[in-house]
Amino acid sequence: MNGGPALVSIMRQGQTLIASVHAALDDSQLARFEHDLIEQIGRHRSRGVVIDVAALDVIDSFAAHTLRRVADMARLHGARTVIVGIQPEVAFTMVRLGMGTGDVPTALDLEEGLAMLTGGLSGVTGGLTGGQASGPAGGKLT
Amino acid sequence: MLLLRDVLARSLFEKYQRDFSLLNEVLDAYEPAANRIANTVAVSFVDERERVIRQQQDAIRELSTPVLPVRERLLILPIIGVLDSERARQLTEQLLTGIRTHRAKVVVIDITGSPDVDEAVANHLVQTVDASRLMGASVIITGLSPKIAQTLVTIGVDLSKMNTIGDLQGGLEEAERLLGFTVTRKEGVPSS
Repeated sequence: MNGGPALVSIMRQGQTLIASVHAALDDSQLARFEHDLIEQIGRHRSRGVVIDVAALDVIDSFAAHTLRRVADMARLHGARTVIVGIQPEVAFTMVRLGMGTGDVPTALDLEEGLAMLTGGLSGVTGGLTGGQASGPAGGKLT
Repeated sequence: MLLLRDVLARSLFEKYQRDFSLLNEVLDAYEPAANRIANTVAVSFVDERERVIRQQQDAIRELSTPVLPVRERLLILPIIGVLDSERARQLTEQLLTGIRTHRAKVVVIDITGSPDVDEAVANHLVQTVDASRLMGASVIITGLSPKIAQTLVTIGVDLSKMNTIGDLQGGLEEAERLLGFTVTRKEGVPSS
């Protein structure tokens, strides 16, 4: 992994990890982020991950792909992932280029993301498949 | 303006008609100045009108895609009239920024007032739904005309991702259900 200051800060809040991306990441930084996050999930035995991309004004296909991979790997570690803070322009560009977030749920901001995780975490057993099948809004809204 | 110029010229003729060379000189000086004044007035007149027209166009464009909050975190977008690609683009922009400012969870897009869309616009609509989902809001589309429904099926949209409901009333009820609102009628209020 390359050196230099981390452009992503990973904070722990109870059983949830909050990964906040501060600036656009290049491919090696993305790989480093992926590695760091998975390692932290394992160490803290987290049940949920919120990835905050509010500071990004560009999300390229590799970044979107990495986010999906991180979410998949987190799931294998027993943590659910929510991506939050996608900017309006970024959202539309992503859709136009045909790169969504796949199965990974998204929320407006950090607060929503955390609420989504705590809402889903209460029923963790069926939470994963149930949450995805009903789409981003269904199941999390009461 | 032109009339004024003629009247002035005539008075000059009368004043200097005895001295022909002086009249010529005066007219030489007078004609360009008068033309210039006429020109300036005409140009600024047209400019002003164009400015007003532009302003009105902007206002119409703003009004053509209103994003209305109806309940906490519930937005409605009524679309009236023909959706062309420019309007569709604007709709997306206003909806996505609206989602952020109002922190919307559910958006109801009502296209009862839009009888037909072409394939490009239908596609754009689907992309808008996807983009809204990325921002954490789910979209309910209501009032699809049979023709638009046909277009959507023809372009092969993944309908499992689209939440569509027959009319605006049904859409609102579904949105309220998603957000956990219940609307009850008060006792003793006569139904008209």
